[in-house]
Amino acid sequence: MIRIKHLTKIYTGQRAAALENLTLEIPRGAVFGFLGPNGAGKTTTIKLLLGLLQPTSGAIEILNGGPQDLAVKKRIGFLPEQPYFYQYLTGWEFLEFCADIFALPKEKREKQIRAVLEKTGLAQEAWQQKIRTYSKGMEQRLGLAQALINDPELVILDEPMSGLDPLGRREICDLILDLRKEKKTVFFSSHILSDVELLCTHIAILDHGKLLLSGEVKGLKQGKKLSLGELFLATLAHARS
Amino acid sequence: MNTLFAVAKNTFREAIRDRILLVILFFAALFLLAAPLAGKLSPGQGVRLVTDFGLAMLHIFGLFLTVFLGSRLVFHEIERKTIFLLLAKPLPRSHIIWGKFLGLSAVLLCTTALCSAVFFLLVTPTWSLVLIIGFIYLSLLLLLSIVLFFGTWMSPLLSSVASILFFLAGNISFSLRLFGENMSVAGKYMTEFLYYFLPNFSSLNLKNFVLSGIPYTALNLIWIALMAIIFLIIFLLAASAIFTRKEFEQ
Repeated sequence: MIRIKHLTKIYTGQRAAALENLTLEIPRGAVFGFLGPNGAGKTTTIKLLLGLLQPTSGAIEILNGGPQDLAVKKRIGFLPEQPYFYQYLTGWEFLEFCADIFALPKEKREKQIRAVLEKTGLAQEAWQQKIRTYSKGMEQRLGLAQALINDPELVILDEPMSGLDPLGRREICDLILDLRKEKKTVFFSSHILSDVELLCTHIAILDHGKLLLSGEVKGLKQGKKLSLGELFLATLAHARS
Repeated sequence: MNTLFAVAKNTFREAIRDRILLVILFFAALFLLAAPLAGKLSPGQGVRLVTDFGLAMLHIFGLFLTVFLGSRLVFHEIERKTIFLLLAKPLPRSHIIWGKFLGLSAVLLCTTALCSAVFFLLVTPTWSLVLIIGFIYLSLLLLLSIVLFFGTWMSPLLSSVASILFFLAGNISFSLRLFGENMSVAGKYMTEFLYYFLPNFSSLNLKNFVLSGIPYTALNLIWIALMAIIFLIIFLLAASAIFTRKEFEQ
């Protein structure tokens, strides 16, 4: 599904690598949690996966193609961290715009917009409201709705729980569990380790652009009486010592 | 092509819902309706002055709208980070540039039509006037392509200044060439280069010679329009090329 080989990214004018020699494999149907403190290189990796950045070196194979392939992008849904929207559009108009970019046929478009809005739990009265009137939680739901508009095989979520209240977080968790049941591959970054423990089949821990640990959650915890949070902290402490 | 029209439609929606557009249009209408005052300043020349003043207002407000809205088109997508939502989708980057151009062209068509309607409340419509306004619109499109070109790699303020300078230089390129004939060889080549390199905006301003009764042929007009369209395409291709290679690090 995703194969990353020796991926390095050094930003223009920077000496230190934001991402250094990352090698990772994410199988089809996995719910993959990408963990790390701020500045670890999580968002950089996601931007490279989506072709928003060019790697300094290394290679990415995603859905049997490259990150720049439009045919590959057709099969991906993406929610950026703190998504920004066109404030002058209504939620419905924004999803129409997204559906047009994915070239959804007219007869399917309305049905699909309705389906994703219902799935993400955006209240029906908000559908025709301007996005500028939305709360943070409503914006996050709309962000998820646009990420699912094309019924993607791979869903990439950058900090999907950030800024949400416990109820909002719970709903996003439920949604990711639904995606898991539908055999979709989910790649998401998060700081909230309890959510990752609940949702993920696979994880990777990143710090200062370097991969510290990756693998199946079951395998990593085998023989250790550690919660994921404790494993995360122990891995970071070990790497930094 | 669907994606290109989706971007165009979104750009059109954004612009027409912008309250600043309404404010600018209000002032444009106000200035146009004030044109009869210009006529009263010079008895006997009334109609000519009203026509000149009205066309000048139509052109100036068109230029202002083009630079003001055009310079923010790409910058806002990056500044507000909506670009990440767009580029993660199957949308060729060049379609963003061409779609934005198409969308704002449609907005400028509407505003020019609206201002023309106000203008024709004061002046009897003729084919010559319609032709002059048509070429004003073409000059706005050409300027928009230049604003978009600068806007892909400059801030709105810088791209506005650069585009206005380009526009002003394009208006005097013919005079510069004439001036260069009396200069040294280097100066002559320089002005000659500028004449061919800069789009000739003054040739798109038909007002001067149409209203003065200077004859023109259909072939002249087709040639002028064709040159403008060629320049416009070159600027949009250059903007697309820059935008396609752009990295979004922040």
